[in-house]
Amino acid sequence: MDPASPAPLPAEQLRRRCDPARFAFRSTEELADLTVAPGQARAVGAIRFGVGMRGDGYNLYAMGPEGLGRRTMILRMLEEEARGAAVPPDWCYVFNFKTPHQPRALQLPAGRAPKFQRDMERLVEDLRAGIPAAFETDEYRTHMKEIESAFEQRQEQAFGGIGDRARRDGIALLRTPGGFGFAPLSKDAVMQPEEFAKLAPAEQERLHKRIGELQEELEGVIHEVPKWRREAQRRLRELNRQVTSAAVNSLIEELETEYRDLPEVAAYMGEVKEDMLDHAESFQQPKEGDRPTLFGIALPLPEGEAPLRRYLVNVLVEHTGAQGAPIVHEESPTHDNLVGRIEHIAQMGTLVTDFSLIKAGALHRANGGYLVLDALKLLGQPFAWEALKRALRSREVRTESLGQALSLVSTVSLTPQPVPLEVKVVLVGAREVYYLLHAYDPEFAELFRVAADFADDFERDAAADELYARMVATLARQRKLRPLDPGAVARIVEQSARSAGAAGKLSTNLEDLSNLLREADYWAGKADRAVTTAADVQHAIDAQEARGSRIRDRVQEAILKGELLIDTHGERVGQVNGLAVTALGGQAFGVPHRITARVRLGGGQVLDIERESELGGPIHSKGVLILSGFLAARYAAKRPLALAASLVFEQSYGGVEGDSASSAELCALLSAIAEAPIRQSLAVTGSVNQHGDIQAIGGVNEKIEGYFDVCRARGLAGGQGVIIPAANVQNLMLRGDVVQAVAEGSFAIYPVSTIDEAAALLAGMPAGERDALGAFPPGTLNQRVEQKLLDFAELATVARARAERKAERTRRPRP
Amino acid sequence: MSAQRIVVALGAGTPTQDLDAAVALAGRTGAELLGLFVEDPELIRFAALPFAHEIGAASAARRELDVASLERALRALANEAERLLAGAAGRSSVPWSFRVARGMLVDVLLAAAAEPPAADPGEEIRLLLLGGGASPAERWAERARAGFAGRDPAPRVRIEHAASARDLAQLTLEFSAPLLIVPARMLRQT
Repeated sequence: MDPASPAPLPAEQLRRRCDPARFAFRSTEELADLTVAPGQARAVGAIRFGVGMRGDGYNLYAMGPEGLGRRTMILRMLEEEARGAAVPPDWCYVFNFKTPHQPRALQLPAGRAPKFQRDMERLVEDLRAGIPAAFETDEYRTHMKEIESAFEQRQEQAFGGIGDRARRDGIALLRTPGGFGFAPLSKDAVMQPEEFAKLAPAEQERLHKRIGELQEELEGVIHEVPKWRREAQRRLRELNRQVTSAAVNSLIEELETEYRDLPEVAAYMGEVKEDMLDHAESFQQPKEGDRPTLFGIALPLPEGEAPLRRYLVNVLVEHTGAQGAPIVHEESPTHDNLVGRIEHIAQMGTLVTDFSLIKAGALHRANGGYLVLDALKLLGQPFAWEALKRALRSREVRTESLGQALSLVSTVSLTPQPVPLEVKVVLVGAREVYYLLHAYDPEFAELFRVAADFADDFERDAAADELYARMVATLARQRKLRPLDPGAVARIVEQSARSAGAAGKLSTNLEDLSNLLREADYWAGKADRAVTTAADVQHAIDAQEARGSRIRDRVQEAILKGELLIDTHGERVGQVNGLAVTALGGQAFGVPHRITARVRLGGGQVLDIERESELGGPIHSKGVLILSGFLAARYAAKRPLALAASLVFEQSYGGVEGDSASSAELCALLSAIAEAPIRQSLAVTGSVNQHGDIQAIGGVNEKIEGYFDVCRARGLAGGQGVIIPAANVQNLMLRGDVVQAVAEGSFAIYPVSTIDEAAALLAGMPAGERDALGAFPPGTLNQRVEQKLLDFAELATVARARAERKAERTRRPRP
Repeated sequence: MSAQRIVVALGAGTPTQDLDAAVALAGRTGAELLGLFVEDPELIRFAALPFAHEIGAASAARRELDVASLERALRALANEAERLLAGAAGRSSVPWSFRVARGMLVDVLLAAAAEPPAADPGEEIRLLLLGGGASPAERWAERARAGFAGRDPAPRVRIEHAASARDLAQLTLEFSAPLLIVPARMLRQT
């Protein structure tokens, strides 16, 4: 091998170990709890600021992927802040006597609303007994009879007067089935028609005239009767009011004194009093016969219309015994669950409602405190996001049903008076959602001014491992799991670094950590151990991997059976082992892919078969186009690139994306041009730029392990290995078996920084650098490439000249 | 005292509570209930007059009246009264009968009340007058006494007056069967 080619990495660099010996504890039981998750200083600072900052729009958005413990941390910090805050007031809805369809919102000091509710219930109860009693008194009955008989007497006198006057003129006032009639009398009896006919015409005329006059007089009296009745009713109402007020006043005065310190409540009591005086009859118990019936069956009194309900109090939110500000975490942020809802009850086939059917929403409950919502759930609920924004912007909660807001339903409904809102909303969601909202909703930036960005990982310095151990201890205790020994913690730290995708980082994903702890605890239990050990942790990791490894195993099986063609030994021109990562269902694994290149004389294009067949993504296409740029600039700067090449991922049917195979593709291409065979024992990963520099890629550990598994299955013959970008060495956190194979010399990892290094390793010959005269040394790979391209260029010139001569001949006129 | 018959005067707009009171009383005493609808012959005579007009009690509208239409109206009222009585008595399973009679209201009612075997001669006849003011009740009582005065032996007439529904309920509980129940509207038609 070329001594200039890069040396393989020593085994120690393939995995940054966590030495159990560095931990001073014997089990995690000895470690103190960690209150703040490590690595989240930025987020914690943002939350502190957002929670403490008063003013419009300083609501929070806690962003980051699932599993970082955002909710837990936010709730804990909110609890700390809320503990010292004032308890917000209680809110009630009461009947609005002026505009009944707009129930009135009443504010009471914390904890007083239920008492107010009970007081009003008792008042109604007392009056239900007190008012009927007042109507049973002799005083009332005497007065009532007096009014009634005055009315009757007036009527009787009027009719009797007419009857008397008529009788004096020989005419009787008779009661007919429908009214009255006047008839001439003869000897105190109604005159017979024949008798009347015998009367002198003058007498007949007199009687006619007199009857006409009496009829007019009677008509006048009948017209007066309704007036007299109204007068009697007015007097009766006055009497009712006098009687009621005696009963009502004494009871209400007590309450007025008790609620004197609350002017709004006192004003309401005044209105209640007036209304009770006007509707005293409501307090009379309905008699059996008065109840509405349907086909003779008495119907239950309609609850919504029961007149006394209007004096009751609907306690919307109350904070009896509460300490500090409320924190509400609404799991189902539907429109109604946020702003509250107005329920209806069915009554004889119709839907009715009143103020007592208004139910509080999360905004009511969180008023004066904090509301935590899941951003995605909120956005998934129709109109919930708009409702939240409207509430925050107007600083009041307006309860209206969605159907009403959209004018979809036309049942009788209410427009409750809005409740003033003072709340801090914390949205918990993904980063994408935050950035999308920021970009597309202009109101979002104004309403959610503080973003708490949770980190996915943190620096793994000397103190970090210790901190992580305490995190493990805390979680184990919270979840009531067995304590862990230092070996187990060390193994978990290593796994965390692997999850973070970097040896120098630790993952902050608490969900994954919790799951690992739980599963390790399960295996420790199975093994009958009191303390979880490294073996249990490893068992849990292996089991996790095994559970999700069906597809990986199928792919490997296909390779080993020769269905998927991958060579792991020998040499071949224009063929290289590339590496790809497949991520499915939370697990990622690396798979080797054969990449091949073919070249011929042509017009300078590199044909990306993946792209032509629409199986390649845009980033992959970009990588291939960069190769053309690199080839042309390096080898054919001063003459045309007379090359046609085609590149393909063999046996790839599901599409390729990313540029991490571009270095492998370039190596295949160079091998094809130079006709230099490539060692199939090596696999390559890394992207390349137009200058031939190798750049970092993702999933380096999975890729190496994917190739290692195939090689191991076929038997490690030595000389096998993977070429990776030098920039990815820091990400190496390889499996133990890989590290061991490297230590034993049966496998190797080569870090490279240029395409020349990679190509030299693969071709087993020096790449070669241009000398002072600008020529590549003979026998080097680059020289062979350049020479071949030169040959192509000359062939192209000759071919062009021949074609031109032919064209000339055909143009020349024949003699 | 027990009675075999209770006569209740029925007319246009006899309140159901009065009827119920009569039915309750009959049920309690085991008496037979007789509903009596009285047509006033004076009214018929009046309707026969060529210029007879009726003035609506509520509307004050003036309508021509003839014998045929009056008799139709009276028949309709009688049917309605019978239906009410049947309903009230039927609910309480009290034996009942209904009769339409023509004559002066007081005379017809008193005659029905005094008819054997309702009351033995010389016994006390009770009148339960319902509603209305005290003065019409008093006038009615006068007429009743005068009506019985010609008989031999003249029955003693005892009058009870219930001004309101409450009083009525009280009276029907306290008293054994009176023989005649006259609702308020009838009291005025003397």
